[in-house]
Amino acid sequence: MSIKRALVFEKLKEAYVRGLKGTVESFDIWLKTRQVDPRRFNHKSITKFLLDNPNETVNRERELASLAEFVGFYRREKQGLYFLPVVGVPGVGKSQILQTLMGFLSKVDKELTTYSVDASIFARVDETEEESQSYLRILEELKTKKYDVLLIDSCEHDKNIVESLRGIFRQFSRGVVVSAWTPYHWSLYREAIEELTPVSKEVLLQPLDKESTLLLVSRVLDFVSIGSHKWKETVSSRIYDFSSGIPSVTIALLVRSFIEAFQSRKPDVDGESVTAAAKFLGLYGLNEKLAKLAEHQILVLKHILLEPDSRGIRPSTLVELLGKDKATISYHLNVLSAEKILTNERIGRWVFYRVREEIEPLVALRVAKEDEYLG
Amino acid sequence: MSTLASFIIVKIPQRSWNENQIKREIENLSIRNDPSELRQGTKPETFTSHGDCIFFEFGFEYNQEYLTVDGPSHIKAYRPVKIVFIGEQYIAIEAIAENHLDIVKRFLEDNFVPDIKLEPIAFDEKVLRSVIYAARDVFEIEHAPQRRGMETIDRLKYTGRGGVTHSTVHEEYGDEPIERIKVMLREVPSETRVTFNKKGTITIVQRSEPHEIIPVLKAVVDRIIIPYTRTLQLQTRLY
Repeated sequence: MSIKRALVFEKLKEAYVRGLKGTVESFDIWLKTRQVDPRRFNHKSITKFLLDNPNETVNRERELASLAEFVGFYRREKQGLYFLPVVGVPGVGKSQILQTLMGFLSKVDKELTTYSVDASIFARVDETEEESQSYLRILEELKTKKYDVLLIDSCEHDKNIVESLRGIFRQFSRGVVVSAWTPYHWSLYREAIEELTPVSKEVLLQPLDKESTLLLVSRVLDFVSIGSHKWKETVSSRIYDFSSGIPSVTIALLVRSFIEAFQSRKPDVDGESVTAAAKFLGLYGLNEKLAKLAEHQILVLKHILLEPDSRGIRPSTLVELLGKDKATISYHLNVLSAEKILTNERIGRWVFYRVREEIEPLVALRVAKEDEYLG
Repeated sequence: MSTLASFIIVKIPQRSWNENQIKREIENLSIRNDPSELRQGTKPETFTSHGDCIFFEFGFEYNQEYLTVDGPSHIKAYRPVKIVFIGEQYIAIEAIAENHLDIVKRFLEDNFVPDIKLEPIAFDEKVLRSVIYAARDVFEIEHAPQRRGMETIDRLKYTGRGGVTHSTVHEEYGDEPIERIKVMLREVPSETRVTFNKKGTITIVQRSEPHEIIPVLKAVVDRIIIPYTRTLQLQTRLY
C-alpha cells in the first residue's frame, strides 16, 4: 500500500471514529453552539429584518433628510409635483431608504398617504385578476385614491419606465414621487424623464464608510445572535475591505464567512474565513481586476448592466449597440469571462452573457465611476 | 364540475410511503371528525391509488361574503382541493388562491411532512424550452419580450391548432423569454394538452378525474421535473 493511500485510510478511520462517537456536526448545530440562530442566519431573513426594521439600519440621515424636507414642503401647500430620484448601485440600500421613509412618514403625520410600488411588476400580467395588467391596476389605484407620496422601487427593472412614468404622472399630478434607480439607468433616462417633469433633487446613495459597515455587521449579529456571540472587530474590517461598503455584499460575505469557518472546522470566524468567503464569492482581487479593465470593456459591462433581459445579453446585440465587429466583441466577452466577471448560458439558439450575480454591485460601482469620469 | 385541473408540485425529502398507513392517516384526518366551526380535513372516500401515486381530496370551510338586499352577509363555503402523492419525493397540490393554498400546505406540513416548508417548483426558461422540444405538439407559447423595439409590448402570445413552433412568428420571436406554454406531451396514456407557466403551475386541460390526471402528473415529474430540475434544493426545514 502506498504512503498516500495509507494516509487517506487513516483520515477515513478518524472520520469514522468521530461518527461512532456521535460528534458529526451540522452547520446548524455549529451555529447554535456559537450562539447564532440558524433560522435567522441567511441572506433573505437578514435582508427582510433590515427592511422591516428601518431603525435598526445604519445611518443614512443625510439622504433621508433631503427626502423628508421635500415631503414636508409639499405637505404645507399640497400643491405641485416633486420628483426625487434616489440613485445608487444595486445592493447599496435604495429599497431600505424607501422603506425607512415610508415608516417615518406613517409615524410623523398620520394624514399623509403613501403608496409604494415596485417597477419590476409593471409588465406583469395575471390572468386571474379582473384587470390582468398590474400596471393598469396601479394606475386605477392612483386615480381612485389621491396619495400624497408615491414610492417607486426598482425602476431599472421596467424596460419601458419612461412610458410607465408618463401614465403615472397623468394620475399622480400632485405630490412627491421618490423613485430608485441605478446610476447608469438614471443617466440613460434622465433627459426623457425631465421632459415629463422637472427633477426636484437627485439623491445619490454612496456605499457605506468603514464605520457604518462595522455598525451594520454588528446590527446583523445582534439580530442573529441567540446569546452573546463573540466577534472580533478585525473580522468586520476584513469584510469591509472586500465588500467596499455595499450592504448586500457585506451580508453575503458575513453569511459565507460562517460557512467557510464551519467547513474548515475552525472554532469561530476569523480573517481567513472572510478571505475564503471572498474567494468563493469572486470578490478576492476583484477591485484590482476591475481597475485594470480597458474603457471598451467597461462599456461592454455597462451595456450588459443596462440589458432588460434577465437572461443576459446576446453578443449580436452588443455588435449592434457598439458598432464593433463580431471578433472584437467576442474577444472582450472572452476576457471578461476568463476574469470570472461574466458568466454565460446557452438558451435556445443563443448564448447569453451576464455579470455574475455575487459581484454585480461592485461591477456596477466601477461602471458608475467610469461614467462620472467620462462625464 | 370544472374540466380544468391546475396543480403546483412540491419536492420533499425521500420517504417510503406505505399505502395502507396513508389510507389510515387520511381516514383519521377526515373533515367529518373536525369539531371546529370552520372544519378542515380529508375526504377519505376520495382515496385512490395508481401505481406509486396516491390521490385524495382535502377540503376546508371558510366564510364567504355575499350581498343581500339588506347588505353583506356571510355563508359557510367549502373548498375541495386535490392532492396527489407522486412516488416518494413529490406532492402535487391543486393550484388555488395563495391564502387558501397556505391552509393546504400547513395541513400537509403538520400531518405528512413535518419539519419541511413546502415550496412549489418553478419552471425556468431552460425547462420550458426542453418541454417544447420534447413535446408531441405545441399549441401555444407566451413570451415576455425583452428585445429592443419591443419596449411597449409586455406579452406576446401565439396560439394555433398545433405546430406553432413551425411558424415565422416563432422563428422571429421564439428566443424571447417564455412565460407559458401549452403542449401535448408524448406517451401520456391519452392525448392530453397541458400548460406550464414559469411560476410552476401545471394545467391539465379537459381532464379532472383522478385516473386522468394522475398519469399526466406522474409523467411531468418523471420526464420533466426529475431530469431538468435536478439542481433544486430541498425545501427549507422548519425549526
